[in-house]
Amino acid sequence: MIIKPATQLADAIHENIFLLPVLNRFDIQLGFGNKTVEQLCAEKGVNMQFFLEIVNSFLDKDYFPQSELQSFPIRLIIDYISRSHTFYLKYKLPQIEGLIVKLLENAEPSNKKAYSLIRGFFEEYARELIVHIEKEEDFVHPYILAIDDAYNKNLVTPEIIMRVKQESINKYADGHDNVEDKLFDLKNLIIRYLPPAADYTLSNAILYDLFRLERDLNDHARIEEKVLVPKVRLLEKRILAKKA
Amino acid sequence: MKEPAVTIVVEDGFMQAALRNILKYLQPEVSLVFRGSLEECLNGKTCPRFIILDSKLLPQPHCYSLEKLKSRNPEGHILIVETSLLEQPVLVYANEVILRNDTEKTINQKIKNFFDQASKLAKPQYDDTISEREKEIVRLVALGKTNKEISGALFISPHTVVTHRKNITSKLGIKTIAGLTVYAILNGLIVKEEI
Ligand SMILES: [Fe+2]
Ligand SMILES: [Fe+2]
Repeated sequence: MIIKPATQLADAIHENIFLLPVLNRFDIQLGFGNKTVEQLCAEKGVNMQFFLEIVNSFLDKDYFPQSELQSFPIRLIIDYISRSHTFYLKYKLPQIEGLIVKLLENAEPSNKKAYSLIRGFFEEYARELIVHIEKEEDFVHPYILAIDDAYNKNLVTPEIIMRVKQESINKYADGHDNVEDKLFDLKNLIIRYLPPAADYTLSNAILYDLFRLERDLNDHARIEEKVLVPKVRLLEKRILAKKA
Repeated sequence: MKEPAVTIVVEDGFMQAALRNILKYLQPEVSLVFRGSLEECLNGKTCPRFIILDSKLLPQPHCYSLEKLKSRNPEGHILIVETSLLEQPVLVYANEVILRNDTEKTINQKIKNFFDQASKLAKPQYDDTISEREKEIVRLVALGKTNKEISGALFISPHTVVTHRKNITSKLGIKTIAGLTVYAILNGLIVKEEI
């Protein structure tokens, strides 16, 4: 399914429930009746082309009309990425942690040790993800916004050129991963090696959440690497050309 | 050439013919080889998977001989045909015993059981158990050793360590050191206090 301006958003949700958090990042909440994408975007002041590219690339990871996405302001992409970060840090991680704590509390005495190992492993994973996101929020995004602003306002100072040379987005792109190896391990440890919980609905819920988080994070990384990075590269090139 | 599937260690010609007939009837696909002694049967390069053994050809004490046979051929399935008095505990080692006064029907049933049981055990399973060597490596990785240190400790090349680690990851579905550490503790390869 490819979502178009005339698609009813309710149909898109029926197609893939995982889209829900993506919609939330555009401030679109449930209860939208039969409204189409076009109507909702107009109502919420959302850039519809951008919206369509994000949801369609989420539904089909091969759907990536880069040329179109490239035409959006960098700010929009950064805003979307930041909202995803907030979603992971404020909701997703605490929610999964809460489930793991509950699993531990309800565990039979013989399982306590094993479950506390999983809790420790999850905390380590969460810490790494937080560090990853903080680095993007505290260093990468401010850099991008600064050079974007300078370029748009025609204020390319020697200081900005220095930053482009020193902080080049390639440095970020080269070292970018999504802490996905730890998430992969966490899923396998629970699926394959953890003694089964007395309340299996709890471990099921944890796994569902981990798979959902993984799906979301993969999409997130794709936007960072395939949309944001090329766009910033182009911007850097233009800034350096301006200097010459 | 395909390895014979069943090795029959039986002296008596009449009994050889009888076993051949029964096996042909119950397991038409099976290939047979006859040996005159247990030694002869174990001298071959490959260990036989199914062994039908005449108790008369089993050196005494029976348990000792069977234990030796099992240790050399742990995968082997042993059926003993009792032609001389058997020491009782042989059942620990043998998968099935045909007794002297078993009826033809019982004998058929026992041979059938013997193969059924063995083929059940032989069914290819998803193999996620790691070898002793791999366990050793998981242990060292979990204890924070580098590939270089592991290579030194186990007297194997760094390249071999890398190969082992790849195999471990694909068998266990675990990629990170932290994940292997949790696996190692869950499976008793290390205790938490060692870390
Ligand atoms: Fe991110
Ligand atoms: Fe990222």
